Amino acid sequence: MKKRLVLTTAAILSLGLLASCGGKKAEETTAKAETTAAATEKAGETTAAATEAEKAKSDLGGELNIVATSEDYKKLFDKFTEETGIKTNLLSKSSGDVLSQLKAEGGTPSADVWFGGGIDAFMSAKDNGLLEKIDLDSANDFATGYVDPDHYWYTKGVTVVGFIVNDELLKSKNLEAPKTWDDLTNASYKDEVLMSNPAVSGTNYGVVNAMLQKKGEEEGWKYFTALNENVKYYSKRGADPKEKTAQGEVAIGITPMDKKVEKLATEKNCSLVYPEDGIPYVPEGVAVFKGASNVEQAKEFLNWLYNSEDNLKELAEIDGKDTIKVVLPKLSNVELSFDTAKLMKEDLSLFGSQRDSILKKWETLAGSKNEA
Amino acid sequence: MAFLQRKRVDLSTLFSKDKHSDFHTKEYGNPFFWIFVFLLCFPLVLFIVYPTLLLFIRAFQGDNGFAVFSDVLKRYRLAFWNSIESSFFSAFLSTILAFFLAYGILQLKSNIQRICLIILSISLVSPPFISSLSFISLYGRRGLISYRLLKLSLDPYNKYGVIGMQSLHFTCLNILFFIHALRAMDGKLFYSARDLGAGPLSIVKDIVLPLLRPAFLASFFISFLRALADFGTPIIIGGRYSTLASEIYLQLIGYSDFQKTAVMNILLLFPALFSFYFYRRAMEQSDKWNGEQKGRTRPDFPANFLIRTVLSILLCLFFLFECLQYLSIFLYGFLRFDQGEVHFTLENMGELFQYNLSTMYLTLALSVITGFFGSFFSFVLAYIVERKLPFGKKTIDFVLSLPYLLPGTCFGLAYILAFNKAPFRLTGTVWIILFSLIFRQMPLGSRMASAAISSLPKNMERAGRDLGANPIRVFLDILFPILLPSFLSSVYNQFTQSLTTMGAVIFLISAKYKVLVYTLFDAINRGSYNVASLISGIMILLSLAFYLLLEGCRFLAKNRY
Repeated sequence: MKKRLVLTTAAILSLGLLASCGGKKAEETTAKAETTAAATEKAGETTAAATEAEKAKSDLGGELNIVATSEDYKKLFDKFTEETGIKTNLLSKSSGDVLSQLKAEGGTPSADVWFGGGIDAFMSAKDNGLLEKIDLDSANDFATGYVDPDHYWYTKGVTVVGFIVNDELLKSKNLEAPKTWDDLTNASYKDEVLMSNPAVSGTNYGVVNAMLQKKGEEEGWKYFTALNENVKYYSKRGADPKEKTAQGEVAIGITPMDKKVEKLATEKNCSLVYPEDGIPYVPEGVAVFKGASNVEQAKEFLNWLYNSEDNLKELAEIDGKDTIKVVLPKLSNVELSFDTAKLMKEDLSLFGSQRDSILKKWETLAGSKNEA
Repeated sequence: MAFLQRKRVDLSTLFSKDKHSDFHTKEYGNPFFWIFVFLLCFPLVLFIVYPTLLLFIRAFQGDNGFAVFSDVLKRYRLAFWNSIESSFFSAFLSTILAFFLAYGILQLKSNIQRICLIILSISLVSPPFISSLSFISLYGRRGLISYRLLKLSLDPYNKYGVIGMQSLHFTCLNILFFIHALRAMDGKLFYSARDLGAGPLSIVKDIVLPLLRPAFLASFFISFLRALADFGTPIIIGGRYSTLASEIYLQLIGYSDFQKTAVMNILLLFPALFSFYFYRRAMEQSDKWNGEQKGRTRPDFPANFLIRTVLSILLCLFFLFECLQYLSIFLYGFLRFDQGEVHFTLENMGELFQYNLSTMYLTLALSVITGFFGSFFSFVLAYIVERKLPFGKKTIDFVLSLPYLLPGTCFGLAYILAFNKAPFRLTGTVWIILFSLIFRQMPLGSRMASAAISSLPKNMERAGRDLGANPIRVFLDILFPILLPSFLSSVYNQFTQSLTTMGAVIFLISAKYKVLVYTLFDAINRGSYNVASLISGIMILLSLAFYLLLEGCRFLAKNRY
């Protein structure tokens, strides 16, 4: 009887062990698959590039874990791996997720570099002591507002905000597409506007802050009170406005303007509108986490990126936009395709300091939208 | 087994009811029994109680704990009632619907039954995001069916949308619950009722329904908890209708306010506790009845023409709905949209292969381990709790339900809070993902296990014991073969849940260890809906393959015993 019990316990324990072996095996396969992938890619390169890479290769080695806004940047990090020998792992995550995770991890972050995402989240992270100070030689090349004065964060481009419009839906309601931000408050668009909650979406936080700066505190809040009348509800996911507009659930979505939304618009017969009374914009941050296990490698990456115009151009190509020129005006191989005068005037330094008070006020203003 | 069945005939009469509880007492004096119980309970404490407690402690950290409480109570009163309202109706509707559908399915010929079961099992894999996208593209304001076909302009962004989508979503799992419970019934009861002149309706009313009580309760309870903690549905389709869970998500992701998150979670605990109390009491009552059931005659469910017709129509509608949804997910992968026109294409397949396949292997490994290990653990535990423990039943049962009381993201958050420092430093490893998956799905497994075990006739174990088998032999030789179908379906459920769960792992995956559902998330984020639907297709195929594998196991085992 006792023997049996012992036997069963042993059996259960060994089952656990078995399970753990399975897990380990999976890990190994993952690692193996990754190395082979890297190896085949390497083999495909021309010898010239290989020798050049050999020269540049530092003896740092190790690895670098990155959280980015999209896995599209894999190309860029593959290039970095190739040239420096530092292995990179990429994970895409929204900045709200990153911030919460970072706070919870309490100084033992599971990633090293934070690549992309609305700058307000970076400012908030800095204020909470979650970022590592990194001094770069190229720090002086950044335009004002695009680098943290204390060098806790840098930027890699700018997200501009506009509207995606479902033409078919508007036509069926006999409405014209809105041309300006002020148009959005027109009563005929009631319940046809979708906007993300600025607490979740850095892009929409940028809109709120920029409009408040443009119109002034009082007029600005008046504007959002009026807009509130037309907004169907505030989505809790950043991607909702463009998705739901494309699907014909609402006529107008407030969305970041990038390659993805352009693709969506052509696919689903929607059009994009750059508001005539000013385009709000939000810088996209880059930073290293405090307490990261690979700070040296992270610094190496930042230097690699910002010291090479080629690498920055590669980044601009992946992003499908040339706003890196706004960040680094000295850049010679990238030209801006739009007039910066159309952008709203924003004092970026206010983005961080005002975040809490703006979101708080926002909650009371938009709170009624939460009710059924 | 066959030997036991023949011998079992009158053993039950040897025991008078009041003596039933005594016959396990032998084990309590055995230290190994307690060591065994300790070994089973330790993981529960470490992976459920400890992280949850750490999260709740956050509610009281900070200068103005009390102010936050009263603020939350005031501000989220409506969201709180919304949560209760939508969860109640979703649980109610999905349970009732599931009962009728399960009853209907069992009326069908065995071939068609099998097909229905396969479709149901596929629909357990409801890939997040993409299934709501397909839902909207079929039934939304400009939906293919609602608008183009029926010329309706529906607006699903309200509480009815939430309740509807949750009910339909939970129904699939609940049907499987009921099918298992119904199949475990003793056919002899129906024969004798019929011989005594009972019509189909009164047999259902007087025999089937009372015996199904545990299944009804478990199905309702699990659905209620799932709905309470579900933040995805209200976020996607709730519009202005927000529930406590979706507000928690907003506080967590938007404001990173852990204190408020924790306070709101505590608030969410009240309806959950209440439903738990209600569930447990009702379960105890129905326990009294299951001593009566003892046969293994295959049940033949009574029905008349009217019942059959109504059930068939219901079944057709339901399966049409499910098939359409999954067909549209699959199709999306092979379509190209251009200027509002639709073309057929295979080019999306190419894009799929850019993704790292290692993610798929890791996910598969994690899900299989979660399925088997989690189910085995919950069955052993449920057996101990239901049949062996003299005390602590309620506590363990409650602890086992805890992971479902927290919205997935909060469960993940609790895990980071708990496991970011030595000696339990697990953040950034593959282990934290595995443990979170296993224990997050535990309520499902343990509920299935205790429903299955509590509906088993106790007499069989008694017979085994009287014939000299020790408790382990009784468990392995008598109970396990009978429980095998429930066990395998628990394995499958946990497999599919861990394949598609997003909320719980969102904070736990790292750049090194990613899961498939995250690749899906990324594909949607970058606007590649076609790729996303192909990934969903892969998930569905993986589950289908796993399902067929388990069916094979079941078939082999059936022949053996």
